[in-house]
Amino acid sequence: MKHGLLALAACVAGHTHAVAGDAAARLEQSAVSASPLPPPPPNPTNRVADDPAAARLGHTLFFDPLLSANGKFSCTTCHDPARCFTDGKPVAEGLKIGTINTPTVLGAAHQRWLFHDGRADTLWSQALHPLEDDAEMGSARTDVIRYLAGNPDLATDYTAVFGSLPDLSDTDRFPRGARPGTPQWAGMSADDQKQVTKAFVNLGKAIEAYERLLEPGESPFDRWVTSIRRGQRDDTLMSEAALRGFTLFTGEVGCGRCHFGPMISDLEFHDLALPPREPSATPLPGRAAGYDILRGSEFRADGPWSDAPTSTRARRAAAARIGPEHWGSVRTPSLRNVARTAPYMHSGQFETLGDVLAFYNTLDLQVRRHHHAEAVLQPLNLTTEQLADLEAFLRSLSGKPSPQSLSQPPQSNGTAAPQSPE
Amino acid sequence: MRLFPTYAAAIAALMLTAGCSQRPGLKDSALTEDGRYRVTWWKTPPNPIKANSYFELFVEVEDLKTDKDPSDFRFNATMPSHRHGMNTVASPWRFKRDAWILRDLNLHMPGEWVMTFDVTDHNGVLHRASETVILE
Repeated sequence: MKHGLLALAACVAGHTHAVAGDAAARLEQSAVSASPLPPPPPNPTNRVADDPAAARLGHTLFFDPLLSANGKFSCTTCHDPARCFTDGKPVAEGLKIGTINTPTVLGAAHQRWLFHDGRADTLWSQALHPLEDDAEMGSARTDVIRYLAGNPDLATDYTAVFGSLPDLSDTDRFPRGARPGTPQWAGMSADDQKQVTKAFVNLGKAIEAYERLLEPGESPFDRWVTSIRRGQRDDTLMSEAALRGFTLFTGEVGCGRCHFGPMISDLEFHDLALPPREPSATPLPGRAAGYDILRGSEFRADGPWSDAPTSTRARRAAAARIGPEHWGSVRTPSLRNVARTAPYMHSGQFETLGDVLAFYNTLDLQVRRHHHAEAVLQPLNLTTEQLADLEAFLRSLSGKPSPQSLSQPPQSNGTAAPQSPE
Repeated sequence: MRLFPTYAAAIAALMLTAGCSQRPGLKDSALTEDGRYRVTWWKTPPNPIKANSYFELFVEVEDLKTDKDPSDFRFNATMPSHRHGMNTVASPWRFKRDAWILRDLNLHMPGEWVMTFDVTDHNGVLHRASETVILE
């Protein structure tokens, strides 16, 4: 009998050990699927996506406020390198106060869709939107191209990558302030419009080439996963709280249903039934509107300005489907560097990670706007300690800052400043 | 897009010559609810299907009761517990009287998906087969 009990105890212990081993194996499997972040996928729709000369030009343009209508707003106004390429504000502030929180540019080259509502399907087309948006930089493509032509350094860099700029010196043919939707634009010939748009698109492609260099950086989580991959798991590389938090994150809590893979995002759209930032604010249609904007855009991956309109990437983007469940849905954000990109959610609804987790924990603040909405979320019902563990894990996703050479304007001769040690 | 028929035919030929039907795990089939059709599909890599990874299906439809060709075929997939479907439209390309290729399919979340295969017969009546898959 005694031997029998011992055998049973040994069996139970063995089973417990095996279950614990399975859990550890599953945890490690989840970890290695999320790290490391590979290089950005190629973008054949932009033939200069990985051209260093194009990246140099894009780098200059990214920091140049003279591209905006009033000469005060550059891409860095909202995508501030010192703030992890965000602005730290609930919603973007350009020429007007916007309605949408500024997403980081770090890792943007990995995204399938750009903007919270996916209104752009390539990074180059994303870069073109703010230039002519009245709430952001408010410029017009004829003015932008004319500015480039008048700046010898920019013109030289442009020509080296794309060939000659169009000659817009005839202001009758190429009026100031001409962009689609304006009378000036409508008065231009189709050929002249095409010349200007071609050069305008090239600017977006150069900016993409620069942005492709802006990667999230290796985080403590990545270093921990590297130790697993090497077969020498080193749990000292993350805090105990972060390790517990990762176990929760990938386990039954279910964060990993949408936040998985190397970007810790499915890169797709979901409706969390978030409350508006202000009670009186009009609910945003999210993907439902983004899809329509994308389909109406000439700057699609499968459109006339794409360098590979029949590529797999373009074909997949063109196969996007819209359904009733997409109303109000927004893109799942990457959680890389999430601790550095407050405030949170697409309209900056929450100031801190704690606020975000509190939302998920109870879902008390959810506002259901239609009966077709998806039902992915369930209240987490976690303890205060568990929420703290989850937050510790999220903080472990903060990567090394971008190299200083990419976080500052390039030197005036067009070359990037020398990289300083981090 | 002009390349699609060539591409699809090449894939189809490759799958047939590779003897996919003999390779365990690559082939599945289901009967439509009324037993009229057997729908057989081969999954191209990744196999098994991975969450949020694009994949392709090669589908054959066998009419078990008549020798008439189906007039149409459609594919869809939904997550009933989440109340949403795919974020991509499946556009079947018919390369044989009873066979289709679907590409750029993506089941973008882990969990339970129900795939539906809708065959429309020559009289316009829809016959549905379905299969549940659970993605890790």
